[in-house]
Amino acid sequence: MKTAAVAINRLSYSYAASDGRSVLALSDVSLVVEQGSFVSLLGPSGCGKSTLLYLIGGFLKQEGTAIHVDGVPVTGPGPDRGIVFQQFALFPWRTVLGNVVYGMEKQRVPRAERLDRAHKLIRDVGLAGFEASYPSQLSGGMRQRAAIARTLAVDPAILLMDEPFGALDAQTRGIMQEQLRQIWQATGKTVIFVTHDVREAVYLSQKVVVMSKRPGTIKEIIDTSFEGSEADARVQSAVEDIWQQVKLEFADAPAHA
Amino acid sequence: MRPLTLEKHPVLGGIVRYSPLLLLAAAWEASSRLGLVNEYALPPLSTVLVAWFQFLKDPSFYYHAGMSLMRAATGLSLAIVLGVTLGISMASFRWVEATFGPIVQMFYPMPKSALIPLTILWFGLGHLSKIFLIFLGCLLPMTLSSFNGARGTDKVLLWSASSLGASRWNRIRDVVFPASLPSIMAGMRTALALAFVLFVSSELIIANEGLGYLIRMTGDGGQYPAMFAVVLTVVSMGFLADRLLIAITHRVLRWRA
Ligand SMILES: Nc1ncnc2c1ncn2[C@@H]1O[C@H](COP(=O)(O)OP(=O)(O)O)[C@@H](O)[C@H]1O
Ligand SMILES: [Mg+2]
Repeated sequence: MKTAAVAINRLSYSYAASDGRSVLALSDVSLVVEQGSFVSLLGPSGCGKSTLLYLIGGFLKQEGTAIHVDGVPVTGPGPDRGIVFQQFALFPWRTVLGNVVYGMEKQRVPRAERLDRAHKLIRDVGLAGFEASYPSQLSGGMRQRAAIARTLAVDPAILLMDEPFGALDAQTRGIMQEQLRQIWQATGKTVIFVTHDVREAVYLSQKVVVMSKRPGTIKEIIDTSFEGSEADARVQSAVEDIWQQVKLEFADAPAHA
Repeated sequence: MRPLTLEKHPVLGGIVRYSPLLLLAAAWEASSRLGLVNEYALPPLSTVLVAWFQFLKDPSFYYHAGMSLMRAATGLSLAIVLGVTLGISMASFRWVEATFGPIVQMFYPMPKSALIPLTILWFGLGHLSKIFLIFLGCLLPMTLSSFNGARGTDKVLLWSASSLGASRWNRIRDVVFPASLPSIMAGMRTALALAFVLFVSSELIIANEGLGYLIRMTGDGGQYPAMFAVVLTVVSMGFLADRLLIAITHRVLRWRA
Protein backbone atom coordinates (compact mmCIF):
# COMPACT_ATOMS: atom_id res chain seq x y z
CA MET A 1 0.00 0.00 0.00
CA LYS A 2 1.18 3.52 -0.80
CA THR A 3 1.70 5.85 2.16
CA ALA A 4 -0.09 9.15 2.40
CA ALA A 5 2.10 12.22 1.83
CA VAL A 6 -0.79 14.55 2.63
CA ALA A 7 -3.92 13.56 4.49
CA ILE A 8 -6.75 16.06 4.85
CA ASN A 9 -9.64 15.22 7.12
CA ARG A 10 -12.81 17.34 7.11
CA LEU A 11 -11.11 20.66 6.55
CA SER A 12 -13.08 23.90 6.48
CA TYR A 13 -11.65 27.38 6.23
CA SER A 14 -13.06 30.91 6.43
CA TYR A 15 -11.43 34.22 5.62
CA ALA A 16 -12.18 37.22 7.77
CA ALA A 17 -13.48 39.81 5.30
CA SER A 18 -12.67 43.48 5.87
CA ASP A 19 -16.26 44.28 6.93
CA GLY A 20 -15.96 41.83 9.82
CA ARG A 21 -18.03 39.07 8.24
CA SER A 22 -16.36 35.80 7.37
CA VAL A 23 -16.16 34.20 3.94
CA LEU A 24 -16.38 30.42 3.91
CA ALA A 25 -13.82 29.37 1.28
CA LEU A 26 -13.58 25.63 1.95
CA SER A 27 -16.20 23.36 3.42
CA ASP A 28 -15.59 19.87 4.74
CA VAL A 29 -12.76 18.86 2.43
CA SER A 30 -11.23 15.41 2.84
CA LEU A 31 -8.46 14.17 0.59
CA VAL A 32 -5.53 11.77 0.63
CA VAL A 33 -2.55 12.38 -1.63
CA GLU A 34 -0.27 9.38 -1.93
CA GLN A 35 3.45 9.66 -1.77
CA GLY A 36 5.00 10.22 -5.19
CA SER A 37 1.69 10.87 -6.91
CA PHE A 38 0.72 13.78 -9.12
CA VAL A 39 -2.67 15.25 -8.16
CA SER A 40 -4.42 18.20 -9.76
CA LEU A 41 -6.95 20.43 -8.05
CA LEU A 42 -9.38 21.58 -10.71
CA GLY A 43 -12.23 24.03 -10.39
CA PRO A 44 -13.57 27.43 -11.36
CA SER A 45 -11.95 30.66 -10.22
CA GLY A 46 -12.70 31.46 -6.60
CA CYS A 47 -13.60 27.90 -5.59
CA GLY A 48 -10.81 27.68 -3.03
CA LYS A 49 -8.02 25.86 -4.89
CA SER A 50 -5.34 28.31 -3.80
CA THR A 51 -6.74 28.38 -0.28
CA LEU A 52 -6.47 24.61 -0.03
CA LEU A 53 -2.89 24.70 -1.36
CA TYR A 54 -1.86 27.49 1.05
CA LEU A 55 -3.33 25.56 3.96
CA ILE A 56 -1.29 22.48 3.02
CA GLY A 57 1.74 24.76 2.69
CA GLY A 58 1.08 26.14 6.16
CA PHE A 59 0.95 29.72 4.91
CA LEU A 60 -2.61 30.15 6.11
CA LYS A 61 -3.14 29.32 9.76
CA GLN A 62 -5.93 27.01 10.86
CA GLU A 63 -7.04 25.62 14.17
CA GLY A 64 -6.90 21.92 14.78
CA THR A 65 -5.19 19.07 13.03
CA ALA A 66 -7.21 18.57 9.86
CA ILE A 67 -4.06 18.44 7.68
CA HIS A 68 -1.26 15.93 8.17
CA VAL A 69 1.91 15.84 6.11
CA ASP A 70 3.85 12.62 6.55
CA GLY A 71 1.73 11.90 9.59
CA VAL A 72 2.56 15.22 11.30
CA PRO A 73 -0.02 18.00 11.72
CA VAL A 74 0.80 21.11 9.70
CA THR A 75 1.54 24.12 11.90
CA GLY A 76 3.42 26.34 9.46
CA PRO A 77 5.49 26.43 6.29
CA GLY A 78 8.53 24.19 5.97
CA PRO A 79 11.15 23.16 3.44
CA ASP A 80 9.48 19.74 3.09
CA ARG A 81 6.78 21.53 1.05
CA GLY A 82 8.08 23.66 -1.80
CA ILE A 83 5.75 26.14 -3.48
CA VAL A 84 5.60 27.62 -6.98
CA PHE A 85 3.26 30.55 -7.59
CA GLN A 86 1.56 31.71 -10.76
CA GLN A 87 3.32 35.07 -10.45
CA PHE A 88 6.73 33.38 -9.95
CA ALA A 89 7.47 35.21 -6.65
CA LEU A 90 11.19 35.37 -7.36
CA PHE A 91 13.14 37.80 -5.19
CA PRO A 92 13.51 40.68 -7.69
CA TRP A 93 16.70 41.98 -6.02
CA ARG A 94 18.49 38.66 -6.38
CA THR A 95 19.89 37.26 -9.60
CA VAL A 96 18.79 33.88 -10.93
CA LEU A 97 21.74 32.31 -9.11
CA GLY A 98 20.98 34.31 -5.97
CA ASN A 99 17.39 33.09 -6.01
CA VAL A 100 18.34 29.46 -6.53
CA VAL A 101 20.93 29.43 -3.71
CA TYR A 102 18.68 31.24 -1.22
CA GLY A 103 17.03 28.15 0.25
CA MET A 104 20.36 26.33 0.48
CA GLU A 105 21.82 29.33 2.33
CA LYS A 106 19.03 29.06 4.88
CA GLN A 107 19.60 25.29 5.15
CA ARG A 108 23.31 25.98 5.76
CA VAL A 109 24.47 23.96 2.79
CA PRO A 110 28.24 24.60 2.41
CA ARG A 111 29.07 27.28 -0.14
CA ALA A 112 30.85 25.11 -2.69
CA GLU A 113 28.09 22.51 -2.69
CA ARG A 114 25.48 25.25 -2.85
CA LEU A 115 26.98 26.72 -6.02
CA ASP A 116 27.49 23.29 -7.58
CA ARG A 117 23.91 22.30 -7.06
CA ALA A 118 22.57 25.67 -8.15
CA HIS A 119 24.55 25.61 -11.40
CA LYS A 120 23.36 22.11 -12.15
CA LEU A 121 19.71 23.00 -11.49
CA ILE A 122 19.97 26.15 -13.59
CA ARG A 123 21.36 24.05 -16.45
CA ASP A 124 18.62 21.45 -15.97
CA VAL A 125 15.85 24.00 -16.35
CA GLY A 126 17.56 25.48 -19.39
CA LEU A 127 18.75 28.77 -17.93
CA ALA A 128 22.49 28.31 -18.36
CA GLY A 129 24.01 31.67 -19.20
CA PHE A 130 21.37 33.62 -17.26
CA GLU A 131 22.83 33.04 -13.78
CA ALA A 132 23.65 36.73 -13.35
CA SER A 133 20.36 38.06 -14.76
CA TYR A 134 17.78 39.70 -12.55
CA PRO A 135 14.17 38.41 -12.82
CA SER A 136 13.13 41.71 -14.44
CA GLN A 137 15.42 40.85 -17.35
CA LEU A 138 13.78 37.47 -18.05
CA SER A 139 10.67 36.40 -19.96
CA GLY A 140 7.73 34.87 -18.10
CA GLY A 141 8.73 31.31 -19.01
CA MET A 142 12.31 31.89 -17.89
CA ARG A 143 11.13 33.38 -14.61
CA GLN A 144 8.98 30.35 -13.93
CA ARG A 145 11.92 28.03 -14.71
CA ALA A 146 14.04 29.99 -12.25
CA ALA A 147 11.28 29.77 -9.63
CA ILE A 148 11.02 26.00 -10.13
CA ALA A 149 14.80 25.65 -9.83
CA ARG A 150 14.73 27.72 -6.62
CA THR A 151 12.08 25.41 -5.15
CA LEU A 152 13.83 22.19 -6.27
CA ALA A 153 17.10 23.42 -4.76
CA VAL A 154 15.97 22.55 -1.22
CA ASP A 155 14.73 19.18 -2.47
CA PRO A 156 11.20 19.28 -0.98
CA ALA A 157 9.37 15.96 -0.87
CA ILE A 158 6.16 17.73 -1.86
CA LEU A 159 5.74 20.30 -4.64
CA LEU A 160 2.79 22.67 -4.32
CA MET A 161 2.06 24.48 -7.57
CA ASP A 162 -0.56 27.24 -7.84
CA GLU A 163 -1.46 27.64 -11.53
CA PRO A 164 2.27 27.82 -12.28
CA PHE A 165 1.79 28.02 -16.05
CA GLY A 166 -1.32 30.19 -16.03
CA ALA A 167 0.56 33.37 -16.91
CA LEU A 168 2.51 31.84 -19.80
CA ASP A 169 1.70 31.78 -23.51
CA ALA A 170 0.34 28.50 -24.92
CA GLN A 171 3.61 27.37 -26.50
CA THR A 172 5.74 28.04 -23.42
CA ARG A 173 3.08 26.38 -21.30
CA GLY A 174 3.31 23.19 -23.37
CA ILE A 175 7.09 23.06 -23.00
CA MET A 176 6.90 23.70 -19.27
CA GLN A 177 4.27 20.98 -18.80
CA GLU A 178 6.57 18.50 -20.52
CA GLN A 179 9.52 19.57 -18.34
CA LEU A 180 7.47 19.30 -15.16
CA ARG A 181 6.39 15.81 -16.14
CA GLN A 182 10.01 14.82 -16.61
CA ILE A 183 11.05 16.35 -13.30
CA TRP A 184 8.25 14.49 -11.55
CA GLN A 185 9.20 11.17 -13.18
CA ALA A 186 12.90 11.69 -12.43
CA THR A 187 12.53 12.77 -8.79
CA GLY A 188 9.48 10.86 -7.59
CA LYS A 189 8.21 13.92 -5.73
CA THR A 190 4.60 14.30 -4.66
CA VAL A 191 3.03 17.08 -6.72
CA ILE A 192 -0.17 18.94 -5.90
CA PHE A 193 -0.99 21.05 -8.91
CA VAL A 194 -3.69 23.72 -9.04
CA THR A 195 -5.20 24.58 -12.40
CA HIS A 196 -8.47 25.55 -14.02
CA ASP A 197 -7.39 24.00 -17.33
CA VAL A 198 -9.03 20.57 -17.75
CA ARG A 199 -6.63 19.40 -20.45
CA GLU A 200 -3.57 20.37 -18.40
CA ALA A 201 -4.95 18.56 -15.36
CA VAL A 202 -5.67 15.35 -17.25
CA TYR A 203 -2.42 15.39 -19.20
CA LEU A 204 -0.19 15.86 -16.15
CA SER A 205 -1.82 14.07 -13.28
CA GLN A 206 -2.71 10.63 -12.03
CA LYS A 207 -5.73 11.98 -10.20
CA VAL A 208 -7.90 15.00 -10.87
CA VAL A 209 -9.75 16.44 -7.89
CA VAL A 210 -12.77 18.36 -9.19
CA MET A 211 -13.93 21.08 -6.81
CA SER A 212 -17.31 22.78 -6.65
CA LYS A 213 -17.73 26.52 -6.65
CA ARG A 214 -17.51 28.45 -3.38
CA PRO A 215 -17.67 27.29 -0.67
CA GLY A 216 -15.23 24.79 -2.12
CA THR A 217 -16.00 21.14 -1.62
CA ILE A 218 -14.65 18.09 -3.40
CA LYS A 219 -17.12 17.10 -6.05
CA GLU A 220 -15.36 14.14 -7.57
CA ILE A 221 -11.97 12.48 -7.72
CA ILE A 222 -11.14 11.01 -11.13
CA ASP A 223 -8.36 8.58 -11.94
CA THR A 224 -6.40 9.77 -14.95
CA SER A 225 -3.22 7.67 -14.85
CA PHE A 226 -3.34 6.20 -18.32
CA GLU A 227 -0.56 4.08 -19.69
CA GLY A 228 0.00 1.82 -22.66
CA SER A 229 -1.09 1.93 -26.28
CA GLU A 230 -4.53 3.45 -25.80
CA ALA A 231 -3.36 6.23 -23.46
CA ASP A 232 -3.88 9.04 -25.92
CA ALA A 233 -7.44 8.05 -26.74
CA ARG A 234 -8.26 7.66 -23.05
CA VAL A 235 -6.79 11.05 -22.17
CA GLN A 236 -9.05 12.49 -24.83
CA SER A 237 -12.16 10.80 -23.48
CA ALA A 238 -11.27 11.71 -19.88
CA VAL A 239 -10.98 15.36 -20.87
CA GLU A 240 -14.46 15.13 -22.41
CA ASP A 241 -15.85 13.42 -19.32
CA ILE A 242 -14.35 15.83 -16.82
CA TRP A 243 -15.37 18.76 -18.97
CA GLN A 244 -18.97 17.50 -18.71
CA GLN A 245 -18.58 17.12 -14.93
CA VAL A 246 -17.34 20.63 -14.34
CA LYS A 247 -19.37 22.39 -17.02
CA LEU A 248 -22.05 23.35 -14.53
CA GLU A 249 -19.56 24.68 -12.02
CA PHE A 250 -17.69 26.61 -14.68
CA ALA A 251 -20.90 27.95 -16.21
CA ASP A 252 -22.13 29.39 -12.92
CA ALA A 253 -18.75 30.75 -11.88
CA PRO A 254 -17.81 34.38 -12.54
CA ALA A 255 -16.01 34.83 -15.83
CA HIS A 256 -12.23 34.85 -15.78
CA ALA A 257 -9.52 35.30 -18.36
CA MET B 1 22.96 53.58 -36.92
CA ARG B 2 20.49 55.47 -34.83
CA PRO B 3 20.80 59.23 -34.94
CA LEU B 4 22.20 60.69 -31.75
CA THR B 5 19.59 63.16 -30.53
CA LEU B 6 20.80 66.28 -28.81
CA GLU B 7 19.22 65.28 -25.50
CA LYS B 8 21.23 62.07 -25.39
CA HIS B 9 24.62 63.59 -26.11
CA PRO B 10 26.71 63.34 -22.93
CA VAL B 11 27.86 66.98 -22.88
CA LEU B 12 25.47 68.84 -25.15
CA GLY B 13 22.55 67.01 -23.55
CA GLY B 14 23.49 68.46 -20.16
CA ILE B 15 23.75 71.94 -21.62
CA VAL B 16 20.33 71.62 -23.25
CA ARG B 17 18.80 70.23 -20.09
CA TYR B 18 20.11 73.00 -17.86
CA SER B 19 19.74 75.83 -20.39
CA PRO B 20 16.83 77.34 -18.39
CA LEU B 21 19.39 77.92 -15.62
CA LEU B 22 21.60 79.86 -18.03
CA LEU B 23 18.58 81.95 -18.98
CA LEU B 24 17.86 82.59 -15.33
CA ALA B 25 21.48 83.64 -14.78
CA ALA B 26 21.29 86.03 -17.73
CA ALA B 27 18.01 87.48 -16.46
CA TRP B 28 19.57 87.94 -13.02
CA GLU B 29 22.59 89.78 -14.39
CA ALA B 30 20.49 91.93 -16.72
CA SER B 31 17.81 92.94 -14.23
CA SER B 32 20.42 94.11 -11.78
CA ARG B 33 22.63 95.85 -14.37
CA LEU B 34 19.68 97.61 -15.96
CA GLY B 35 18.52 98.84 -12.57
CA LEU B 36 15.25 96.93 -12.67
CA VAL B 37 15.88 95.84 -9.10
CA ASN B 38 17.77 97.43 -6.25
CA GLU B 39 21.43 96.45 -6.34
CA TYR B 40 21.35 95.66 -2.61
CA ALA B 41 18.37 93.39 -2.92
CA LEU B 42 19.91 91.52 -5.83
CA PRO B 43 23.57 92.24 -6.64
CA PRO B 44 24.54 91.37 -10.23
CA LEU B 45 25.53 87.73 -10.69
CA SER B 46 29.02 88.74 -11.83
CA THR B 47 29.62 90.62 -8.55
CA VAL B 48 28.38 87.60 -6.61
CA LEU B 49 30.72 85.33 -8.55
CA VAL B 50 33.66 87.62 -7.74
CA ALA B 51 32.74 87.40 -4.05
CA TRP B 52 32.51 83.62 -4.44
CA PHE B 53 36.03 83.41 -5.85
CA GLN B 54 37.23 85.45 -2.87
CA PHE B 55 35.67 82.85 -0.58
CA LEU B 56 37.26 79.98 -2.47
CA LYS B 57 40.68 81.44 -1.57
CA ASP B 58 39.71 81.77 2.09
CA PRO B 59 40.39 78.72 4.32
CA SER B 60 37.77 79.75 6.89
CA PHE B 61 35.09 79.36 4.19
CA TYR B 62 35.95 75.68 3.92
CA TYR B 63 35.81 75.40 7.67
CA HIS B 64 32.26 76.77 7.72
CA ALA B 65 31.16 74.59 4.82
CA GLY B 66 32.77 71.56 6.48
CA MET B 67 30.96 72.23 9.77
CA SER B 68 27.59 72.48 8.03
CA LEU B 69 28.22 69.35 6.00
CA MET B 70 29.35 67.43 9.07
CA ARG B 71 26.18 68.40 10.96
CA ALA B 72 23.89 67.57 8.04
CA ALA B 73 25.63 64.25 7.31
CA THR B 74 25.66 63.15 10.96
CA GLY B 75 22.02 64.05 11.57
CA LEU B 76 20.90 62.50 8.30
CA SER B 77 22.90 59.28 8.78
CA LEU B 78 21.52 58.77 12.28
CA ALA B 79 18.00 59.43 10.99
CA ILE B 80 18.44 56.91 8.16
CA VAL B 81 19.68 54.16 10.45
CA LEU B 82 17.09 54.73 13.15
CA GLY B 83 14.24 55.59 10.77
CA VAL B 84 14.70 52.43 8.68
CA THR B 85 14.95 50.30 11.82
CA LEU B 86 11.88 51.90 13.37
CA GLY B 87 9.81 51.89 10.16
CA ILE B 88 10.50 48.24 9.39
CA SER B 89 9.90 47.26 13.02
CA MET B 90 6.58 49.09 12.99
CA ALA B 91 5.56 47.14 9.88
CA SER B 92 6.77 43.83 11.35
CA PHE B 93 5.64 43.97 14.97
CA ARG B 94 2.19 45.08 15.98
CA TRP B 95 3.24 46.43 19.37
CA VAL B 96 5.92 48.67 17.84
CA GLU B 97 3.34 50.11 15.47
CA ALA B 98 0.88 50.60 18.35
CA THR B 99 3.55 52.41 20.36
CA PHE B 100 5.22 54.61 17.76
CA GLY B 101 2.61 54.93 14.99
CA PRO B 102 0.51 57.65 16.68
CA ILE B 103 3.65 59.61 17.70
CA VAL B 104 5.06 59.55 14.16
CA GLN B 105 1.72 60.62 12.65
CA MET B 106 1.32 63.41 15.18
CA PHE B 107 4.75 64.92 14.54
CA TYR B 108 4.99 64.33 10.80
CA PRO B 109 3.27 67.54 9.60
CA MET B 110 4.89 69.72 12.29
CA PRO B 111 7.43 72.28 10.99
CA LYS B 112 10.65 71.06 12.52
CA SER B 113 12.23 74.52 12.61
CA ALA B 114 9.74 75.32 15.37
CA LEU B 115 11.88 73.06 17.55
CA ILE B 116 15.03 75.14 17.14
CA PRO B 117 14.62 77.06 20.44
CA LEU B 118 13.94 73.78 22.26
CA THR B 119 16.97 72.01 20.85
CA ILE B 120 19.12 74.96 21.88
CA LEU B 121 17.65 74.79 25.37
CA TRP B 122 18.43 71.07 25.59
CA PHE B 123 21.74 70.84 23.77
CA GLY B 124 23.24 74.32 23.85
CA LEU B 125 24.61 76.42 21.03
CA GLY B 126 27.12 73.97 19.55
CA HIS B 127 26.95 71.06 17.13
CA LEU B 128 24.68 68.89 19.17
CA SER B 129 21.57 71.08 18.95
CA LYS B 130 21.88 71.28 15.13
CA ILE B 131 22.62 67.62 14.66
CA PHE B 132 19.69 66.71 16.89
CA LEU B 133 17.34 68.98 14.95
CA ILE B 134 18.42 67.55 11.59
CA PHE B 135 18.17 64.04 12.99
CA LEU B 136 14.68 64.67 14.31
CA GLY B 137 13.48 66.31 11.10
CA CYS B 138 14.82 63.56 8.84
CA LEU B 139 13.72 60.76 11.18
CA LEU B 140 10.04 61.18 10.34
CA PRO B 141 10.22 60.90 6.53
CA MET B 142 12.71 58.02 6.89
CA THR B 143 10.44 56.18 9.34
CA LEU B 144 7.31 56.68 7.28
CA SER B 145 8.89 55.73 3.95
CA SER B 146 10.42 52.58 5.46
CA PHE B 147 7.14 51.71 7.15
CA ASN B 148 5.15 52.12 3.95
CA GLY B 149 7.71 50.19 1.91
CA ALA B 150 7.84 47.35 4.42
CA ARG B 151 4.08 47.18 4.74
CA GLY B 152 3.74 46.76 0.98
CA THR B 153 5.96 43.67 0.89
CA ASP B 154 4.36 41.09 -1.40
CA LYS B 155 3.14 38.24 0.80
CA VAL B 156 4.07 35.56 -1.74
CA LEU B 157 7.71 36.65 -1.36
CA LEU B 158 7.48 36.15 2.39
CA TRP B 159 5.79 32.78 1.89
CA SER B 160 8.43 31.72 -0.59
CA ALA B 161 11.17 32.63 1.88
CA SER B 162 9.40 30.71 4.67
CA SER B 163 9.06 27.59 2.59
CA LEU B 164 12.76 27.82 1.71
CA GLY B 165 13.60 27.71 5.41
CA ALA B 166 13.86 31.41 6.34
CA SER B 167 13.26 32.34 9.98
CA ARG B 168 11.29 35.42 10.94
CA TRP B 169 14.47 37.47 11.31
CA ASN B 170 15.70 36.10 7.94
CA ARG B 171 12.48 37.27 6.33
CA ILE B 172 12.83 40.79 7.69
CA ARG B 173 16.47 41.08 6.60
CA ASP B 174 16.27 39.17 3.30
CA VAL B 175 12.79 40.09 2.08
CA VAL B 176 11.14 43.01 3.90
CA PHE B 177 14.22 45.23 3.89
CA PRO B 178 15.11 44.88 0.19
CA ALA B 179 11.42 45.10 -0.75
CA SER B 180 11.28 48.44 1.09
CA LEU B 181 14.35 49.88 -0.62
CA PRO B 182 12.53 51.74 -3.42
CA SER B 183 10.41 53.52 -0.84
CA ILE B 184 13.39 54.05 1.50
CA MET B 185 15.43 55.67 -1.26
CA ALA B 186 12.52 57.99 -2.11
CA GLY B 187 12.24 58.93 1.57
CA MET B 188 15.99 59.57 1.66
CA ARG B 189 15.66 62.15 -1.08
CA THR B 190 13.02 64.02 0.92
CA ALA B 191 15.17 63.74 4.05
CA LEU B 192 18.25 65.04 2.24
CA ALA B 193 16.44 68.21 1.15
CA LEU B 194 15.13 68.61 4.68
CA ALA B 195 18.64 68.28 6.13
CA PHE B 196 19.71 71.26 4.03
CA VAL B 197 16.72 73.34 5.14
CA LEU B 198 17.39 72.50 8.76
CA PHE B 199 21.14 73.12 8.89
CA VAL B 200 20.73 76.51 7.24
CA SER B 201 17.82 77.62 9.40
CA SER B 202 19.32 76.40 12.67
CA GLU B 203 22.67 78.04 11.89
CA LEU B 204 20.92 81.21 10.77
CA ILE B 205 19.20 81.57 14.10
CA ILE B 206 22.11 80.87 16.38
CA ALA B 207 25.56 79.43 15.71
CA ASN B 208 29.23 80.36 15.72
CA GLU B 209 30.15 78.53 12.56
CA GLY B 210 28.59 76.99 9.46
CA LEU B 211 27.22 78.33 6.19
CA GLY B 212 23.98 79.52 7.83
CA TYR B 213 26.09 81.51 10.28
CA LEU B 214 28.08 82.94 7.38
CA ILE B 215 24.88 84.04 5.61
CA ARG B 216 23.80 85.89 8.73
CA MET B 217 27.22 87.51 9.35
CA THR B 218 27.68 88.72 5.79
CA GLY B 219 24.07 89.90 5.68
CA ASP B 220 24.35 91.78 8.98
CA GLY B 221 27.61 93.31 7.74
CA GLY B 222 25.96 94.57 4.56
CA GLN B 223 28.21 92.39 2.35
CA TYR B 224 25.36 91.37 0.08
CA PRO B 225 27.39 89.91 -2.81
CA ALA B 226 29.20 87.71 -0.26
CA MET B 227 25.89 86.73 1.30
CA PHE B 228 24.54 85.70 -2.09
CA ALA B 229 27.75 83.78 -2.73
CA VAL B 230 27.15 81.72 0.43
CA VAL B 231 23.54 81.10 -0.60
CA LEU B 232 24.76 79.96 -4.00
CA THR B 233 27.20 77.63 -2.26
CA VAL B 234 24.35 76.05 -0.29
CA VAL B 235 22.26 75.68 -3.45
CA SER B 236 25.16 74.04 -5.35
CA MET B 237 25.96 71.69 -2.48
CA GLY B 238 22.31 70.69 -2.27
CA PHE B 239 22.18 70.07 -5.99
CA LEU B 240 25.33 67.95 -5.99
CA ALA B 241 24.22 65.96 -2.96
CA ASP B 242 20.88 65.26 -4.64
CA ARG B 243 22.58 64.13 -7.87
CA LEU B 244 24.89 61.89 -5.85
CA LEU B 245 21.91 60.36 -4.07
CA ILE B 246 20.18 59.72 -7.38
CA ALA B 247 23.27 57.95 -8.67
CA ILE B 248 23.43 55.84 -5.51
CA THR B 249 19.73 55.04 -5.85
CA HIS B 250 20.24 53.79 -9.40
CA ARG B 251 23.01 51.54 -8.17
CA VAL B 252 21.07 50.24 -5.17
CA LEU B 253 17.94 49.56 -7.26
CA ARG B 254 19.74 48.24 -10.33
CA TRP B 255 17.61 45.08 -10.16
CA ARG B 256 14.54 47.04 -11.14
CA ALA B 257 13.41 46.87 -14.75
N1 LIG C 1 -7.56 37.17 1.81
C1 LIG C 1 -8.86 36.91 1.54
N2 LIG C 1 -9.83 37.52 2.25
C2 LIG C 1 -11.13 37.25 2.02
N3 LIG C 1 -11.56 36.37 1.11
C3 LIG C 1 -10.65 35.72 0.37
C4 LIG C 1 -9.25 35.96 0.54
N4 LIG C 1 -8.58 35.18 -0.33
C5 LIG C 1 -9.51 34.48 -1.02
N5 LIG C 1 -10.75 34.80 -0.61
C6 LIG C 1 -12.02 34.23 -1.11
O1 LIG C 1 -11.98 32.85 -0.91
C7 LIG C 1 -12.48 32.16 -2.06
C8 LIG C 1 -11.46 31.18 -2.56
O2 LIG C 1 -10.32 31.87 -3.06
P1 LIG C 1 -9.11 31.11 -3.77
O3 LIG C 1 -8.65 30.03 -2.90
O4 LIG C 1 -8.12 32.15 -4.14
O5 LIG C 1 -9.82 30.54 -5.08
P2 LIG C 1 -9.13 29.91 -6.40
O6 LIG C 1 -7.68 29.76 -6.15
O7 LIG C 1 -9.84 28.63 -6.61
O8 LIG C 1 -9.43 30.86 -7.52
C9 LIG C 1 -12.81 33.23 -3.08
O9 LIG C 1 -14.20 33.41 -3.10
C10 LIG C 1 -12.13 34.45 -2.60
O10 LIG C 1 -12.88 35.60 -2.90
MG1 LIG D 1 -6.06 30.73 -7.14
